[in-house]
Amino acid sequence: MMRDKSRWLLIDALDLEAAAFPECVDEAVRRFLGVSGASKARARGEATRGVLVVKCASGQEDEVIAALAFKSEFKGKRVALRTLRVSGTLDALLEK
Amino acid sequence: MKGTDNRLGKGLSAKAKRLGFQNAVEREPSERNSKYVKGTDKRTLCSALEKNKDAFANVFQLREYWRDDELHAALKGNCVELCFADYANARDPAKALNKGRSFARKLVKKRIDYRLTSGATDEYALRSPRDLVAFGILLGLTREQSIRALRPLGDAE
Repeated sequence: MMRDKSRWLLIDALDLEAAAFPECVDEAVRRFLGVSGASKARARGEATRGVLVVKCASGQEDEVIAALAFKSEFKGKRVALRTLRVSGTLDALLEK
Repeated sequence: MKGTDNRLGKGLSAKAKRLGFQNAVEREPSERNSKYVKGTDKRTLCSALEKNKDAFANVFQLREYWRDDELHAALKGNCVELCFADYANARDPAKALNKGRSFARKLVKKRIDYRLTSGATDEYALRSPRDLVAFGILLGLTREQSIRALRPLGDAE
């Protein structure tokens, strides 16, 4: 069986705790892309090795980046999610 | 990915550079001697554009800017700002993006120069170069067109 390719995004988050990051990413993607778009994007936020990253489907990264950029509020507080780098593997993303 | 954010609020260029921009220009709409043109009145804006070629114009606040042929004719020889903050803070971002898509298509077709900017007034509104390229793609531009739209003002293609 062919494994689906993924892309990793390195995120700079302003005023967002690492614990709340996955939920915030999920909310941003669902709100911006809808249920159908979110299912295709397969975006998942996580805090790993001291940084915030998002794993998403290859070919959907621009939609996910735009969804994160349009997220300005989470639980009544202002936040900002900015994509710094994109890579095919987590190791390559953190190596640069 | 590098590039220039051609319009930011005061004191934000250092942070913009940390987000990946090679250069960032702090430019206020009210700044004197600047060629930045923005407004809600079409006649005033068009006459300013005719007088002042090489202006940097933001037409987002004009009614029906996306389908106004007279305005598009006046924009020839000037540079248009496609500002992320305008679309993100619009009352209905989906509608604003739809209009923006029609406008971007016209800009490309009529060979009018354009730049993608964050239009940030505070740190929360700052965007990275990747964000602005994704915004350009959302407006229907190609990746190459979006990256080219991050070059400094006055740079010929």
